[in-house]
Amino acid sequence: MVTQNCINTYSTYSSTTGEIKPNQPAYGATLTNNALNITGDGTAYTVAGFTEWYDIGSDFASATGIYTAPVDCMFYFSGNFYGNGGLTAAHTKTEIKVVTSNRTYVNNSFSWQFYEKSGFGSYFWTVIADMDAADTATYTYTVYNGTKTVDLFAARTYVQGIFIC
Amino acid sequence: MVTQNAINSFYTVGSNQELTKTLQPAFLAQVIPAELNATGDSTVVEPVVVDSERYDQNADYDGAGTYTAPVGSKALVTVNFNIEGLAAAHDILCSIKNVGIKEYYVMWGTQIGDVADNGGHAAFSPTYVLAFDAADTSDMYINVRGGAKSVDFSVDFSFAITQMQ
Repeated sequence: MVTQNCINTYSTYSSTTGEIKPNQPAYGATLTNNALNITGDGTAYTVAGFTEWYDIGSDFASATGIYTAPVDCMFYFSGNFYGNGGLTAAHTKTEIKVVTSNRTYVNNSFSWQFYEKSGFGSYFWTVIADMDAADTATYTYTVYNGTKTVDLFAARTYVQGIFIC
Repeated sequence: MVTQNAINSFYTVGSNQELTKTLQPAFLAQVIPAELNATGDSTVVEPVVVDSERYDQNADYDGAGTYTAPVGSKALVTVNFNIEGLAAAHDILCSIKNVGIKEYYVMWGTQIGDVADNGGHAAFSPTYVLAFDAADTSDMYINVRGGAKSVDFSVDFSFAITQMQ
């Protein structure tokens, strides 16, 4: 079965593949360059400068890291922020925020929970956000209580989003 | 209302307009029984054999740790890495693999002594959106190192993928 108008195929479904919606908004991107000495002293760093894996709908601005919702929707965001050294015992709190037009979602943790003692390691997070058309979403990364020596490692830092409904 | 062809019912809408897709590729599996002494001494485990299927719509999971995409698609991957038998000396490398395309690092060098509770138990539950081409596969990689081969995968260790679009 194919559901379409004269221009676009919106949704196809077969007994072997299930439903696919090839034009449904979704994006995935990785940080282009290591971000060095960006936080550690409470500085909220807006994570930007991405290289896209895919961007269906062209709603993700890779340079700024801003996602703009094309329609009213529920949207899934997830990512992995990977520390690349610079974290010390003084850095006792890590905070990741997904800042949307409607509200801000806060993920925080005692830093050692996800980082090993050389300052390497992952911090993964997930949010489902209610968005209105033209609402935006960005990400901030903040490490507290130490010096501004904390990095993000490009190859293992990524963000993703997918339209749910 | 039911939208269907001669064989399959693809979309079903309930009385309150809930849309369900009962043939959409999706599976959930757990490690039952627990896999004992699987790693800890740098033994690489890939794929993690998550062998007890709770459901497997469309039969795209092989029951042994590997999912094969039936079509080019985006899928939501959720994992519960649930590990026991950890000692302070252990550190962990684990990832979700979009085999041949992208490796999503979950923990990489994290000191388990900082993550595990006093009983040597740790659990972490990342979620990601993976982009598949038809016949691409996904599995999980774990290598716990730095100590004895005493690390178990508990019965709460799970692997789930749902095709989103």
